[in-house]
Amino acid sequence: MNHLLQDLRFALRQLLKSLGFSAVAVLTLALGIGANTAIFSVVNGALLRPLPFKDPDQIVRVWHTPPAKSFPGIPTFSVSAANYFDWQRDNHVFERMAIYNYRGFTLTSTAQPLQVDASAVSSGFFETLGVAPLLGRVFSPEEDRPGHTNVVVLSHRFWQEHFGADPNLVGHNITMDGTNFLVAGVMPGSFRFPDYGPMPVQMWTPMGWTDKERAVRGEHHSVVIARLKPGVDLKQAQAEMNTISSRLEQLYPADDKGWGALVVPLHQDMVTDVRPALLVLLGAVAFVLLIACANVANLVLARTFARQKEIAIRTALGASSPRVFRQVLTESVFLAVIGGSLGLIVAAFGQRFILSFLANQLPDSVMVHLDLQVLAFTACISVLTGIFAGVLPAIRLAHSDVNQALKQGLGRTDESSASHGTRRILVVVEVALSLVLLVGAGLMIRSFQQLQRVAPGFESHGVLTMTAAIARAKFAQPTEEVNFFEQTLRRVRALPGVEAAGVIDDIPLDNGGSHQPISIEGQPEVAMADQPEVDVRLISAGYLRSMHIPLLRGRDFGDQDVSDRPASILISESMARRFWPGEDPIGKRLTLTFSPKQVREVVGVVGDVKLDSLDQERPSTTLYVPFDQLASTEESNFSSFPMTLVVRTATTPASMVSAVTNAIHEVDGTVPVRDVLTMDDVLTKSLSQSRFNTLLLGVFAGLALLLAAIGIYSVLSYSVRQRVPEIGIRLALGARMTDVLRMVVIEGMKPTLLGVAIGVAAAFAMGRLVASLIFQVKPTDPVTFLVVAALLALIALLACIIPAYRASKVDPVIALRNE
Amino acid sequence: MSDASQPLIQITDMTKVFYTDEIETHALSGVHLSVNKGEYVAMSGPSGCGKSTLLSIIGLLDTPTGGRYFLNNKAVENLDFAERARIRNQEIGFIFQSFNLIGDLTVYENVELPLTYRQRMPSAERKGRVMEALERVGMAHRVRHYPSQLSGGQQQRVAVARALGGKPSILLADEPTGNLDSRNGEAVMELLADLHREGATICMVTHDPRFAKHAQREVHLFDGKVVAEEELKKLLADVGA
Ligand SMILES: Nc1ncnc2c1ncn2[C@@H]1O[C@H](COP(=O)(O)OP(=O)(O)OP(=O)(O)O)[C@@H](O)[C@H]1O
Ligand SMILES: [Mg+2]
Repeated sequence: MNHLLQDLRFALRQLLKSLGFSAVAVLTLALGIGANTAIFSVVNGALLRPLPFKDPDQIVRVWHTPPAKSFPGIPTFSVSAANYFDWQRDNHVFERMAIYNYRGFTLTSTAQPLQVDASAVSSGFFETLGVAPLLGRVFSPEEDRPGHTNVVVLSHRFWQEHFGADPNLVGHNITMDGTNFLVAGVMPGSFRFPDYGPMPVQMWTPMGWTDKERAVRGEHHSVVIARLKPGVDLKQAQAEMNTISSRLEQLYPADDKGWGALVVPLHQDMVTDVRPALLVLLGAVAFVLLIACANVANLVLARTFARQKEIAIRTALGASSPRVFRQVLTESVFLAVIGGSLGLIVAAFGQRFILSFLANQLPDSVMVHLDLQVLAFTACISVLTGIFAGVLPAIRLAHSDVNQALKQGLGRTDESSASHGTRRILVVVEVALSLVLLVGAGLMIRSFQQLQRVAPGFESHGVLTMTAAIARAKFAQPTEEVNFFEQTLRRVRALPGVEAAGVIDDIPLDNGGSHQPISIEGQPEVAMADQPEVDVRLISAGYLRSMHIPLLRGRDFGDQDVSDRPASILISESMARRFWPGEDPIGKRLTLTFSPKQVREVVGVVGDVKLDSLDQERPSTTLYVPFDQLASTEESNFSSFPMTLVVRTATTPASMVSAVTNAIHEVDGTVPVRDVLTMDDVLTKSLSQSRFNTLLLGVFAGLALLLAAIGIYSVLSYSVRQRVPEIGIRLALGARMTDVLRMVVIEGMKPTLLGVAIGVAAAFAMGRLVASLIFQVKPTDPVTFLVVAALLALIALLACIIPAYRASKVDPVIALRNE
Repeated sequence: MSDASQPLIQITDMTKVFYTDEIETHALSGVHLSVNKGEYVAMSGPSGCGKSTLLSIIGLLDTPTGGRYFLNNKAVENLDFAERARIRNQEIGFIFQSFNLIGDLTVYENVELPLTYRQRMPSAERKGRVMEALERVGMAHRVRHYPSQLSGGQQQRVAVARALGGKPSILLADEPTGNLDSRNGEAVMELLADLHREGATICMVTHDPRFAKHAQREVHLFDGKVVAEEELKKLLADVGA
């Protein structure tokens, strides 16, 4: 202990003595450790920390797996009601199962009508998750029956924001969609499940399916969670679900043929989107830290060898090797701990930055803080970094020969050459690591460029969108909803500055929309499971014109496409090619399986539009149904639904927001408006994950490059300083300026080029790790590799310039005088 | 006297002033010196009198502040860096007090080094020159050794070989025996004497009067000036008094 204090005091004095060195080392470490802490805190929150449920490891999601033929490229699918009830009845592996889906309400007890995101949940939902309400109660099984469902449980946040956290609210009614709902309870603040997009759900209400709804097998709208029985593992559960699924396939071939089930741990399922990116980033920051380590090791090595005489004298005076070893280690760990503390500040900023990008992708039940776990992580990596950076110099030094150090030979001593060798190896490592990072960043940039080059199929600029959040019970008849939007659109189109306006059920690139099976007239009848699937969108006249989606053949929807007229549809170019290759699709007829009474005729072909995302690989086989024919297509028990207005403006879209909102409210003042976005915003949002990956990997690669350049520079300038006498001799022997420059540059570039070669090989081998994150770029993209290798070589060359210049300025007379 | 006795080095009224921290040091103040081809000149004088400075200027490592310097009848006092480097490489061979071999290079590579700074020398010729020089100093059997594996005397012999390899017009030696014991010092002196007999021109700085006797001619420096031997004694006596 005494020794430690003494060592610490000495270390502090040493560090203060060479402030420049200490500052560079500490900053390097702060950046390296800070970046790691920031990423770790996100990884910890998203991937490591258990969900705030009871025994969260036991909770799973059960998805359908759709037949690959009809749903190419779609691995999992929502669940149908009837299949869920069969799963629930037949399985022996789950303690409990629950099913839920989205429900929107309009709350009118508040001053302004308010659109509310709710989740309709089956009985057993809260029990499956194992959470109890903060106030009141959750639903009883009786409330999960039709006619008993006018009851809600509120989220903590919603209760606070809209009811001032009034504890007396429980047991009282609130009014939504014109009906009274009993507030049964309030959930704790940590319970934010499920989330729809970036927002957690605001309240829960019982599912209350009718017997008829419970029997629907062919429509997939809901999500299933389940709790494994104690002792049952994932494999057993999956096996059981496979058995049940094949039985269902045989029992109900028309609906279930080809449909399987997939059991996924809930936590894993919630983070699938961010997981690969976070892991790649974690790898990237680890690389940055390794480079920082190598750099600090380099600095420590250079400095300890500058102090070699002092240490030799200490050894001569009786300091033992372990003592010297500990002294050097204490110093580097001390540096790393200071670096780590500063790193926390870097991390706090970095984390906020990362989260601002990840907001769209991270489930809301994930919470990210700089908590104890993260602090412990930082403390650990700081100490480890210090040891890592110090151990090499310490070994070198503790084993250096006292005699050798005191007997200053000519040129370089053996000892200093050996240390120089070590330092060159460190440079090789740094360069190789940076190259791998740079390749990763390069691939992301190329991929991002490709994504930006993707034509979405519409012209986003100048388009304003907003959703009129029509509640389920708002309109009893389809014609009422059609009328509402017709009137609204008439007003919007009359606004000055509006060029075109239309509505659609789900705008492109916004994670929504329906896929439906179809059957084509004239082709043999097949079971639903074997029917081809297409994307179906409900649009009004004016939508295509607002989005500048080109009409390629036939006609657009118009006044004739109303109820009581023959049902018409528009199809995308890819859909025409898929079903009627080489034929004219106009006049062809088909039925949507979910509304079989209508035979629809293709009246036009329009351009393909990317619906899922810009990197969507599957063809855009899209079918458009005219909104005005809603009345004739809807079969029975109609519930109204939200539609999104799409308005092309002559001015900036943002300036039209209030005018368009007013137009909606002039028709009906109680309709909430949400998701006011320009189409440019939507496009930007859909690029955000890619932008995030590109930006962060770019930042880390830049950091790596900087650190590697510092490494090369410091090794080289140290070496030049050491070689001044030698350079003097060379000059005396007639070396020209260019000979000296060349010598130094070659010395710097040799380890660089070796590092580049090793890095290229490593990046090549690690390519498949980023394969899932890049779009239309091969992980071995030769352009990226070439550019990156050239960039690194160039930066290394720049790092050589100052030391080389200094070497060329050596005055041989002075150099030889001081030898 | 004919062309043969044409002076190799002709220095007139040479001055050298060092400016450090606003202090002027007059290291040389009006030196006249000429050295003929094939001559062996020893320079001596008290410490700080300007011997090394003069040798640096003769060796074109440094430039004079004033005066003229003809080397092989060519004015060389105002040449640029590149030209001086070329002349150093081709006309001058340096031998230093502390040998100044490069620790990372083998004996062979050390001797080869100045030749690598010469353009267009075929490698066969280079090899021949290196081996010839090493044989001349009796170190040909140690080509693969590193300087640290040699004794001081051996190192200095390699340094002499390095100076010889370029076939220079003149050898400049600044206290070549300063770091050697007397036996090894004697051996190096013998080597220089041999080289002189074979026709080499040598300029050597030494403190040691015994070694100065090896030379044909002694030049005495005092306070930056060349003085006659008697004058030097008188001056030294004055200083002593
Ligand atoms: N680069 C320099 N800057 C300033 N003064 C210098 C420089 N080089 C030499 N001097 C000064 O010039 C004078 C002559 O130095 P020089 O090295 O030529 O002496 P020397 O005769 O070789 O002495 P010694 O026998 O000790 O080697 C000395 O006073 C010295 O301090
Ligand atoms: Mg001297």
